Amino acid sequence: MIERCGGMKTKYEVNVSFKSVVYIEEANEIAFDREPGVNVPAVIYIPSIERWQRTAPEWARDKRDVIVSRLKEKLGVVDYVFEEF
Amino acid sequence: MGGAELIHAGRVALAGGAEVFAARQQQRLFTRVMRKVETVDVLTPPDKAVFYSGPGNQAKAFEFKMNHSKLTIENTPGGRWLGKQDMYNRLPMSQADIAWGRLSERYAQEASGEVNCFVSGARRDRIFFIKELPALENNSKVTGKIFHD
Repeated sequence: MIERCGGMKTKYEVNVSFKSVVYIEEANEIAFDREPGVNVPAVIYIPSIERWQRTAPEWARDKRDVIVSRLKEKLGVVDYVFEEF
Repeated sequence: MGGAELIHAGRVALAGGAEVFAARQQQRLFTRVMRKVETVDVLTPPDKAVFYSGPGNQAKAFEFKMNHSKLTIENTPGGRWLGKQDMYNRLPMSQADIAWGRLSERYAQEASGEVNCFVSGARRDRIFFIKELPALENNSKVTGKIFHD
């Protein structure tokens, strides 16, 4: 997926696997825990703002809102529940 | 019906045909994968199997397995094979989860010795509690379960 913002192109993609979702932006990536069930929406765990500041890689530290909103846009809210921890 | 209407009707029929074809292809893939999931190798040596689920637990489990020479399902031949099938791009999420859920259950059924579980904060209605843990509890080869915070 390519998103244009402020005249610059930001390339990113979101890869889903069994127990994780990986957001990739150019050469950087950040993984989120995914908890699947059976015939229920999977849960994606998003670190709280405080936890994000402590644990996110430096390139992503100030981009929580934009990354989370891209995850929601890409994955949709039908198949997924987004939960903060 | 005019020419334009006929062309439109033809396009709609073709599009519908393509959807049906794609759905059939997905169903064939799902059936093939589910058959294979029953036989692929998910065996781990005694005391090696690690399980994880829930917030923040993959990172803890992966660090633990690296430091203690343990294995998660992703390290088994069956887990590697299913990972390569790219299920989440090729099938509806629910079907991909069913395939992985069944493989996880088999992984737990074939574990032995002491197993390590990183499931703090995991939900009770998720794969670990509804598939893996019951399989571990019914597995007489499992001699102990260590639950980590």
